[in-house]
Amino acid sequence: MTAMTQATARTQEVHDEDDPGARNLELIRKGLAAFDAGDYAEMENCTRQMYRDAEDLLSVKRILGADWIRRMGLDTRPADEKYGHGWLDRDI
Amino acid sequence: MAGLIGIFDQLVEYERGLLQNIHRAGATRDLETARFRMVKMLNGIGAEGSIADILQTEKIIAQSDLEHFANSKPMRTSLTGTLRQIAGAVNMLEMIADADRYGIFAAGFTQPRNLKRGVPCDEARQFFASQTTRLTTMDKMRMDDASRAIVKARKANVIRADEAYAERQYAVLGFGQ
Repeated sequence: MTAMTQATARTQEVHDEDDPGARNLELIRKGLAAFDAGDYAEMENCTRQMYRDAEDLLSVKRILGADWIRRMGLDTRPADEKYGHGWLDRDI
Repeated sequence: MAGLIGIFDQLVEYERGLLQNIHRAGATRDLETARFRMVKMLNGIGAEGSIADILQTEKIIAQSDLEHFANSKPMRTSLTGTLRQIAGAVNMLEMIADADRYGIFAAGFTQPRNLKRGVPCDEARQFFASQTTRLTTMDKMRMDDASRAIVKARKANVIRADEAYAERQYAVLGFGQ
């Protein structure tokens, strides 16, 4: 490949299992597109599927609250494992 | 998860995800997109939403700012103060739902400096006034178009909430207007 093509290839989305950040970006883009299309069910799907580690989940808890995490049905396993069950209702 | 607030919440969550990945190609553009969608939601909430809805968006934004941007003690102090004031406003909203209770409460406000056009400058009215001032100050700072649009939408909503709350005070306290 030429240098130009290689550079383009690097900036394209990589659907890599080890790159949750890139996957989240993809999901956010899909979520925003769903919003624009008025497809709020699809938007909610995209939001739910974002990968969040223990720290991210704590962030979400501080911004949107424990109830929001429960109502959205987010995957709380990384935080359950790191902080123990009940982290949602505890002050961490 | 229906309703205006649920969708606004998700846009705030997208903002969090985008800020976390801001160094990636295209993330800044998507952040701008997400923020302009937040403006759309704020306008919708201002048009159809309740005073409680407007308080809730201000609460979420303060919590988000505290999480992402509070890298100085003065800012943390300011935002935690704002959150405390919002809690006070929410409390007032509950109280004014009971006309008799609010009537007794309002009887304690007799001094001109504690009244606004004859009705109590209670903690809800105080919050709306302080928040309007804060947002006016923010509008004088340098920021990108999307962030500025958010500040303008928020200010319009807070002013609307203040007017709506004052209407309720007049109604509950038996004013002619």
